[in-house]
Amino acid sequence: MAQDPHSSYELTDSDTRWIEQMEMKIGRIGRADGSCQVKLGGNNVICAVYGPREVYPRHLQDSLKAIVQCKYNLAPFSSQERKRPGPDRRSTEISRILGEALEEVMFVQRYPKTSIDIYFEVMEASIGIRWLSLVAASMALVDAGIPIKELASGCSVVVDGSGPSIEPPSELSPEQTLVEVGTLGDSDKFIMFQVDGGLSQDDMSQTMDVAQAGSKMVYDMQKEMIRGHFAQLSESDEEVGQ
Amino acid sequence: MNGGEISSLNRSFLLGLLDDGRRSDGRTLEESRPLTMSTNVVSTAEASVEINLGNTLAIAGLKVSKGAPYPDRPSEGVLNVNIELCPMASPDFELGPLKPDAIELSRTIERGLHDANVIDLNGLCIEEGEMVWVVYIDIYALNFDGNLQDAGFLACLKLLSEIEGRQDEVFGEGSSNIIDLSARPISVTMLKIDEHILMDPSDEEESTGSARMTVTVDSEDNVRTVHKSKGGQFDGDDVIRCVRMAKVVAQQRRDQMF
Repeated sequence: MAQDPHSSYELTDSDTRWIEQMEMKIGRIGRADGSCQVKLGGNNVICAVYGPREVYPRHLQDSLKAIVQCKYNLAPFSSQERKRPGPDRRSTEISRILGEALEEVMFVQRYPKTSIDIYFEVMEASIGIRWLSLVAASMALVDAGIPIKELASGCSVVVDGSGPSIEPPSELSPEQTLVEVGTLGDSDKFIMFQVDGGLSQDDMSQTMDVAQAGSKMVYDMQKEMIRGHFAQLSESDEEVGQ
Repeated sequence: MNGGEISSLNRSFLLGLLDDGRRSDGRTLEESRPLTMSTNVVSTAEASVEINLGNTLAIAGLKVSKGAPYPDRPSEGVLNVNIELCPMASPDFELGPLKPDAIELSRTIERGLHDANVIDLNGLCIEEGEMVWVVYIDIYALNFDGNLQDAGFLACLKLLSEIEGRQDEVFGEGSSNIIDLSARPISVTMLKIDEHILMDPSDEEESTGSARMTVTVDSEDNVRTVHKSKGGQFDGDDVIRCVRMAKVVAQQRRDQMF
């Protein structure tokens, strides 16, 4: 693994093996302007983007910028116990967090009086669903051709007595702490940061290093995926042209 | 489903093609779109399937849990089909509670399954009046290009066939006869535009058409359910024509599914 400029942590083999399993598929939802499905471990999320388009309901319109409307929704069969369909407090919170993180990567001032709608349908949820949703959304924005400053990347780290690990356990025990971050590309800027559990200050800085090293690898995979996708598109366009 | 609006230019183009017996995607009027299904796409569900009918994409999952029976049917379990029209599936779908469209769809699918006796609700009873098995099927429409009716029904059938072989595992010992798919019912939906009857309509066609008919046919070619929706009219000949068309497509789909 190449040394990350911002981080003192080098990913272990098990870290890289875990992240490498991440699957991304661009353009699954034909009706949407852009879409991407991301799977890793027990997570499976589909994100689709519509916009910039007319704001509905009208009174939400902002004359200075585009509004970002995010809706994160869990399928009833996405967890061990069936969940009642429809929004709840948790999904409303996550919608909010993702929307605010994504607004940070977009040029919303360029599209006043419009709405950029980002929908997440979670087919299966486990540890790390928030950062994976963020990754899916930034790929969907690229697919939609909406300019962004940088891809949103991310990573989750589980910390317990034996130190931080990127590969999560199948279920969190009370002694374990989950850190989920969203980063602005491979920079050291966080656009999402959530910790649930307990961390000492030393643990905290070490965990941030691990998360950043992970995000960097995720970022490289995203770039490669996008290159591959557009290379394929241009090939099929050429075929049509002939 | 009332999909979107369609421009009058596009509409007259479609109508012009139909008069020549053609459709905008190159199909004949009697032809269904390609159907593909892959199972085990969600590990948290008892059974799951991803279904593509043309460009219509849905993911469906089946879960079972124990619950109270309906007071008027104390000895029967519950089959609950719920279809969600995700806002990502079409620019015309909006956020919010279930629209009548989605409820009508869920109900027709549920009726189709009941009328073909694919599930023995009495067998789902654990303790009369107290506790029964509730089978939840949730269908997520992720990309909408018409005919969710059939996509949803076929997804349900696939889910039930996935657990048919391991009912003891799902519902406990001695419950091997709850699901019975031997009737092999298949739902087929057609749309009437002017005097034409179109098999398996796309979104564009659904927005142009006036009346829709769903026929469920079993392997003996018996009609199990019929459901007419949207406005418009069918005369007796139309109905017979629909049933005849449905039998052909039902057989194709049945061969592919079982």
